[in-house]
Amino acid sequence: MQGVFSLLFPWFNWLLGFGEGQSMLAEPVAPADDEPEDVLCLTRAAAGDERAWQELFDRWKRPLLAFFYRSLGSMTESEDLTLEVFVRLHRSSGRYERRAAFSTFLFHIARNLLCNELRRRRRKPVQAVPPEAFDYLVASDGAETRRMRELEETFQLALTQLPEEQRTLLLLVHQQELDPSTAAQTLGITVNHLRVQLHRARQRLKSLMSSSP
Amino acid sequence: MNSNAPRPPSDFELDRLLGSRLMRTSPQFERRWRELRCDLARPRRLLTLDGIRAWWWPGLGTLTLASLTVVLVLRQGPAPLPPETRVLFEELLALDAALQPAQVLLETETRDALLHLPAPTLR
Repeated sequence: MQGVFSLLFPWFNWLLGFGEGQSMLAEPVAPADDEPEDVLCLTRAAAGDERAWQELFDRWKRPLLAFFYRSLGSMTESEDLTLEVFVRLHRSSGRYERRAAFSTFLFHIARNLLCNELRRRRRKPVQAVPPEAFDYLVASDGAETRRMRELEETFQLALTQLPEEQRTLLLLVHQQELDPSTAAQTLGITVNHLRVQLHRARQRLKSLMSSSP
Repeated sequence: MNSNAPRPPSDFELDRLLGSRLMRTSPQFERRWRELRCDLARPRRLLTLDGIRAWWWPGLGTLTLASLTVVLVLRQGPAPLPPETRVLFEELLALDAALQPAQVLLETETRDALLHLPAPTLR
């Protein structure tokens, strides 16, 4: 009987308390021991510690901004969404349990916000930031700098033309340096599927960049 | 072969672009964060999911009891008259007989005549 209810109403177990501790946001996965600082910070932040919020923000603001900017191509929207991630984190901080990596939890929130934003807006405004805003020019020589400057615009344009899942996959693995299993959990796919999609996404991105005028 | 065609990015270049991070954030963004941080650090008393779960069954029980009470009250229908206010059938017949002579007042002519009587005359 309970099985039928659970099938019909996924929240039934949660109400009965059988799914005690299972977050409504994140899928249950193996405990992560690689991010104790973030978890401790979140615990303190949930208790109202302002410094803990600042630490979390300092650690994650640039990765989140880069993630949103590469997905949307607009810095204004990226800033809005980054702040919104922290609002959502605040709302769900009481529910976070160390079944998933903190980055899975965080980028799950970020991706939900991104998908909402992509659904909401019809056209994609381009508010590009200059290449100097990124760290890839720091140790480049003259010819390399020129080349990267040339590629930046084409790259950003091609990236926004990719399907959302492929783009997010590329960003989670290459930009955020999440390990494949964490990235797969964030996207709700298997690791094998992730590897296939990752290869296709890279090929497609290169193709789009090559065909760009 | 067209020498002006764009050179496709190498894997190394693609990895550098994909892995690029922002160097700095804007002052406006930092100011907005500081405002938000104060709100986030404020103790909150919102209805959380744990709160909903804690109150779900007591709330459901209360709602069921209230619904049962309403149903029971509605099913009983109008309250019966107390015994002392009951009018017996014989009494109704006697009342009808007593009022029988007044039926002439209902005739149209009589009613009009009465309505047009000057007020002092009614005393």
